[in-house]
Amino acid sequence: MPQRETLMKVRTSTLSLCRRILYESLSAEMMLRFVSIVDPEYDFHERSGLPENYPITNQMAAERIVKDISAEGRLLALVEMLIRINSGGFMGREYPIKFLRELVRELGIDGYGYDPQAGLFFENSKERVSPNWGRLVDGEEKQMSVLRLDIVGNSLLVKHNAKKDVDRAYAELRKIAQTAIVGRAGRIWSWEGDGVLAAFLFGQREIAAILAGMEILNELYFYNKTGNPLGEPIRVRLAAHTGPIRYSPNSVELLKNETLREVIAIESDSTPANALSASLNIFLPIDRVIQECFGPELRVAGNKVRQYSIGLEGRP
Amino acid sequence: MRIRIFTGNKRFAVKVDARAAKMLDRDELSGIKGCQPERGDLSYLDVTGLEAAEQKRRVALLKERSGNAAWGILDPKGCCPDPATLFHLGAADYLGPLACKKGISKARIKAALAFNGDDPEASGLDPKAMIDEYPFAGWSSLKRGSPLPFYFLYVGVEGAAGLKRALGEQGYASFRERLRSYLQQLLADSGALLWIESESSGLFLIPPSRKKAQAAVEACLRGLLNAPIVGYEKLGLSIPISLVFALHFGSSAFEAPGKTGTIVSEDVNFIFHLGTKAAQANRITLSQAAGRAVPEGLDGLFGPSGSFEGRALSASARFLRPAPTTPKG
Repeated sequence: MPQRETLMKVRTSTLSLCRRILYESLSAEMMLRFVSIVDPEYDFHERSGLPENYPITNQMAAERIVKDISAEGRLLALVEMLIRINSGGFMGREYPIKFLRELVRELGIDGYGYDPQAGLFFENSKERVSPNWGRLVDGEEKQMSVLRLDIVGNSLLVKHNAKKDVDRAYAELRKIAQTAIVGRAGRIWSWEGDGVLAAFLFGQREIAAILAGMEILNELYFYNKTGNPLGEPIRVRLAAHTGPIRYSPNSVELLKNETLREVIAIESDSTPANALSASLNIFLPIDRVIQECFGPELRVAGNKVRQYSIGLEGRP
Repeated sequence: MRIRIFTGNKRFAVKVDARAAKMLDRDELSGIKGCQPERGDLSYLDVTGLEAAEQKRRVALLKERSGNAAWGILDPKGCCPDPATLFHLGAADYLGPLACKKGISKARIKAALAFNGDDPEASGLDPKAMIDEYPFAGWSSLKRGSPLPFYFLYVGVEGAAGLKRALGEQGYASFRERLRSYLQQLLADSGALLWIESESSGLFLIPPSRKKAQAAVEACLRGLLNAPIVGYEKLGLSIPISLVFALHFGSSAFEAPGKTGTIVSEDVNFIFHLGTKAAQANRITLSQAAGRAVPEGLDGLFGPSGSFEGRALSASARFLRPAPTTPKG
């Protein structure tokens, strides 16, 4: 079961609409078939305690499925599947689903927007910012883009400066990172001492991670020149990568993902200070106009990367 | 402002005002040939030990190299037979033996600049005397028709015609809408007002406050550094965008946006000329009058950029994005 704080929250009126949509659009048999796509281990009879030969009405099936699936935190996945089936059918047959537009609107009121490009609902960042976007459940695997940030010489900065100045400067850095990441529907998964790990799931997640990294470097450039209370500039290394990630609310479990281990290695082994390294996986799908901001392909410590940093041309 | 002294005497010493001393460059006589003073600068030639013909030749060379900029003569030994002829030639100052002993004071420099027709207040010698804040109670409270001080910020799109061809008429119109909205958001902290707009440029008025002007310069620099991100995310462009920024401080009669057709102002003309003819893409160019709008900490990004219509300019360095080649730092 997903942890309580990561469960999505929707109103009972939304759940009622879901039930109505299911029983007015689909037979009990088709509901059970579709729900097994969302949760392959779902067993209606086991959950309801009804014997297999007991006749199931559409209302009974809808009631039970909505209750169980929402308790599992997979309601949005069920609605996403209904949207896909409504537009593309299933196994060559059309299954028109009623009141979908109303359901998307109701979920919007509950704080979830729909991204037609990704075919996914996402948490409205203005209302709530959960590490799982209010929808990923423990063990769910998705393609994601990730951004890693490390403060160079963190321990020396802490040693050489007054605590209040370090706290102030790091709070500002956190604000810069938060704006760049959450503003692009990303989520900060961990912020421990000198390191940040963030993930992007929705929309054009590759470019979102890259632009967030570029924006952090750019904003930090100005902060170091105009507002930094420390006796030296804050320098960071950033790396962006993309790949499959199995979500877990447990950070130790999360870090077992190959994609996350790779992004940490790219940051620590292949990136100089004040630069953003992009793995080729994340670099290739992004638009050319942004690709052109990066340097040529480099092979550093076994990683093929493209790098972005800020330089100054000679004065006029 | 720079003050230069050209002397052939290694031991030559003249007392110079402390603030002016920070602006002082000392050079050999041979340096006159390569010097390029700008309007607002002041160059002195030490004529000690120069024979009449040599003196005449050096003075003529300094006059030629100075162009519109002020120049003068240092004559601690009284070698110059007829100092008045120097003024006939266009000198702005002459320090004879007694004056050389007193040294080059702030008042003297300002007087020499004023004699040359330069603005002594723009010399940076007396910052307290320079007005940073004029009373400003909001755009709606401004009295129409009478001349008021403003910072003028020109923002242009480099290669607008090509962009228009690439985007089409409708695409370009929607690009302009998005650009206008982005710039207004970018310049919000500086209290800027979009005053005059054309197909490819806009002129913002900024309240006559140094702080507001500094906020505008910082915002423009952010806009330049973030141009690829903004072009892609906010302006929806799949091709790079280059912006031209220019800032000038001056005065003009005020009229509401859209009713500016009758305005006649030398400073408004100047900022348009500066933006369209002299300012380069991907930089912010400042006239000398707007030079104090550079925020503390960002002054290292700026350097002299020649002169235009008799006014010295400075400009920011262009941001580049070369890939670092060292693996760790």
